[in-house]
Amino acid sequence: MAEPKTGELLLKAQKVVKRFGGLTAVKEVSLEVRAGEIVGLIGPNGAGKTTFFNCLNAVAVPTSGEITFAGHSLVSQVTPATGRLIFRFSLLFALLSLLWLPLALGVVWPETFFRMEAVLALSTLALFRIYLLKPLRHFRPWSRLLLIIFTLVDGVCAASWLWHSPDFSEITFFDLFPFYPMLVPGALVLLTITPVFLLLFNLPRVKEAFGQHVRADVITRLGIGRTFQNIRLFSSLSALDNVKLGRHCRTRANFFGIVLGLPQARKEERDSVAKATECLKFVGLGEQLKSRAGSLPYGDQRRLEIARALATEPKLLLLDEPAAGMNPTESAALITLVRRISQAGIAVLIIEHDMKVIMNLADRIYVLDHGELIASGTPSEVRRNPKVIEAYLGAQHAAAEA
Amino acid sequence: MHLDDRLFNDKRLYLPLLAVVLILPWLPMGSAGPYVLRVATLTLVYMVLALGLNVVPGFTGLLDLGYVGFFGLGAYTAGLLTVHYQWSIWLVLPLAALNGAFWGVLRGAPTLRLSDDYFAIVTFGFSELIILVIRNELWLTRGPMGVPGIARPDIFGRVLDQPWQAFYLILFFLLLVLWVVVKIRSSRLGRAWFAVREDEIAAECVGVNVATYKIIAFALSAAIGALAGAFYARWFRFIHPDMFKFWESILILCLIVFGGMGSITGALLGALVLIPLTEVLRIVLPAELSNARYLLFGLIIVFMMRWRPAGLLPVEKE
Amino acid sequence: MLAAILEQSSLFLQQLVNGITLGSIYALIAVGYTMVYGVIQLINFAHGEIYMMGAFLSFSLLSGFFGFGLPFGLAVVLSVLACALAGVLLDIVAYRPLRRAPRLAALITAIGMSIFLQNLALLIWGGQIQAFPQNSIPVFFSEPALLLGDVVISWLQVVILSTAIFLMLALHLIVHYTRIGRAMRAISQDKTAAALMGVNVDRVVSYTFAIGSGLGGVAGILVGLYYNAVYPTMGYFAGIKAFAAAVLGGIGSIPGAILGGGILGLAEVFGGGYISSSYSNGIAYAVMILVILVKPTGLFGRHQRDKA
Repeated sequence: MAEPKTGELLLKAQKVVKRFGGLTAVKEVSLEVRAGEIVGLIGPNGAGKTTFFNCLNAVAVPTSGEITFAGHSLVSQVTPATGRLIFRFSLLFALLSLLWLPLALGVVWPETFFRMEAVLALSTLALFRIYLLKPLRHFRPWSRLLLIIFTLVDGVCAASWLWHSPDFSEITFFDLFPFYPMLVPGALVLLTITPVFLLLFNLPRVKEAFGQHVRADVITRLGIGRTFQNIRLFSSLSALDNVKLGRHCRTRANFFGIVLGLPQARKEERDSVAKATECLKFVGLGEQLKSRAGSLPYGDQRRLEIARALATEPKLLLLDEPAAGMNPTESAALITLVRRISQAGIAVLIIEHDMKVIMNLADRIYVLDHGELIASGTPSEVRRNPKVIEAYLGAQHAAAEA
Repeated sequence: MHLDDRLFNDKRLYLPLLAVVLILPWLPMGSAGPYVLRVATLTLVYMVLALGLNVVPGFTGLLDLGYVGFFGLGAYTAGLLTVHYQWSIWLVLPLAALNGAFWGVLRGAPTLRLSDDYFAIVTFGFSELIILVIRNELWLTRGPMGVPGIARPDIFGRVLDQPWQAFYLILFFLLLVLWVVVKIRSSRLGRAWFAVREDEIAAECVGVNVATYKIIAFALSAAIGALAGAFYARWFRFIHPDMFKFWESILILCLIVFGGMGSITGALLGALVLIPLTEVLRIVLPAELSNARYLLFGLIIVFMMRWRPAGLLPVEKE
Repeated sequence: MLAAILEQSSLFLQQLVNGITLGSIYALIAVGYTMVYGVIQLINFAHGEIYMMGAFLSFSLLSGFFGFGLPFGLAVVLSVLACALAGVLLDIVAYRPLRRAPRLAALITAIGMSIFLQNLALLIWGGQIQAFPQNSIPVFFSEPALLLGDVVISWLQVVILSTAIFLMLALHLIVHYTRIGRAMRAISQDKTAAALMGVNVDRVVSYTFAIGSGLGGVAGILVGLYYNAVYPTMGYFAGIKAFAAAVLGGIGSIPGAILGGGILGLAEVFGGGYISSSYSNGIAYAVMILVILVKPTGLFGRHQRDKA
């Protein structure tokens, strides 16, 4: 993986908005991080900093806005209107199954017509289609595979129907639903719609459209690592295992390789152990490899989370309040650690409340208040900015400073 | 260190155990011999089932209440294929396992975002639907008449009609499944599953595609269940819808709860202790009270959950 | 032609009547599930067994199984009270100790209790299908109350429907106009906050179990009379269907459970009549799965258990 050149634009967030029902947590926040930088994100409690991180990382889906990382878009370009159109079209497609299957079954198995089997099979097919509607917001390639599969099934049913040219008086439930034969000419129309839909699903634009939301693990693989405000370690696993999990996105051994004990899989495992150990030593936890993660002291747990994020070989590391709950000695150690991370070529975006940490580390700072960006610049600029002082200490102090 | 780590990595521990199991059919047990061998074979079948069920609740933390569905699916797939085409067990078994995996994925795919409770309900409903279909589709499965006369297992053209041969056959499959499960447990895949079990969001942020890994777990779990079912069909030589009731799912669940969900040795231990226990109870209790066995199981579940919910060999260190 | 339509419609109407009757029974059981889930987020698998107990206790008291016979009204009342008590005991013995345990443990315990109770009944009463002795039930139950052409509505059906309506109204009054009801609603929204407001959570939960189980017991007696069949596994099947009804209506919502019960009863009768009777259980399973996959919160759902 080529190291990004210092100064190169890594992360660009533009007008990111995140709404939760009636509450707008993040209001049009724009942010930039360049390679080699340490950027701080500060603001009073509840300013929306962690929510913003969640948007970067796909733990939360931004309501609108654009986020680009290393040239990749993390958010789709589909407007809500297009999204609705896709949804409606898919809904139509889902309903098609309600018309198809009884017809086809009536031809192939007349004696089973409109029995429980038909209803069950019908519900299953309808279920598949309805299921496909749900993840349209998420990036699921294999749901498209399912769609292709039963579109093919549709084709087979339609073909068999055309082939057999049934005598409609034999269809038993004709008595209950006399309008059914009127749909017969419509069936030919349906036959043409499904290939069109199939084609549509494979056009690159539409593919992009379905990539409306890039998954968190894809983002991690792209090179964004992250720690959490309230530590999210795998507490029952050992420290080493936690960090080995960080290596997950950089390893490829699959089921067969593991079970058959293929040399590549075994080598990967050995490398994972080596790399994980290296990361643990880097953060200063070299002695705690086998300790249960949940039993480690708080400060060590924070460092372990950082080690795990480092193991994913990120280009950008998102640190969410890494110094929370630390005493001055520990925060000094943290500052050193973050500097070493930056020297290793990893850009850092750090949320912090501890002013000493931020002012010492950050090359640039962004300030958030009530979800809005109120200031940005170098630490000294931000420190003197009246809006920032107001946000933290109240209007009177801002006036006093002026 | 969990027993799982110690036992399977230390030749001095598992080889003697294996030796004991291997000589079991030849131990002198007088007239009780064939019966004991039958119980032992049955125990091994349940061990395979326990290992299979252990994959989903044990590794991914989701409760599967419909395992008997896959057992039945495997049994019927194997039974029907054998009866119609007289294929060798070595062809039928993988096919049954594949079929199981297929339905396991089908069941699991729409349930990826469901919480524990709802997932458990869907597994339950799905399994009951499978058994219902088996019971009612007479043209396919002969329904309540069952499928009799399934051919015995065979190897290289020779029929294996001796009980001890069946015993070694299921032992072979058990070791195979054990191999797979043990290897996966300490691998990248197993770690990913544990991560999903602990914290899905953190797992995803570390690069684990949660959906894919859950699907793999579903497929594996179902395949193992179907494998056990296929063997059972060829060993017992008669299958019937009443053999695959919801109760069986609970029994298998009981086995892994008893031994410790997520623990491989726990699953084996659970089967080892509880299955012979059912047989012992069946002999010991007078005929009218034979249903008291199930009562006992209900009580065992309740007590285990109350006093040692993590099982006899818990996966988590206290 | 007209005769054919009339014939079809009277079949339809008869099915409708049967469906509503069955639906009211499912509603009674479903409410029990939904109330318990509302307060402690537990699917009480053993609820079906309480329902079965109601049927068996009333049968025993009426047929002299325990050595003595009781008049109808007294037997019914005692059985219902016993069921309510059984529900409370179930909570105290099996579920309360696990209040802080992981949800899976409580769920498994519920399954364990269900198995225990089912087999206990099997042991005590045997596996045969028992029927209420003719002389113990009021005779007029089987007589038709209403005749609309070919459609017969028996007195028993009227009793079932009116009992269900009466109990639902009573429940509504309790839940919305009493202190206990308010406490129940509070707990189902936020247990900790309710406790901090001075609500004795354990006691209110016991009340919930008592009411839910009492309703289940009533349902059991009514079903036992309706089909004149009482057997230990009746709780299992009815339980599943009622649970599907509760899920359909939105688990945690009482009006949802009632509506769900009604829909499921109708679906079962109509499905059995027009599609296939052997799959009548299958309808419940299918409904359950479909609802969970498509809209887990059901028709009136409140408890969002879907993960983000």
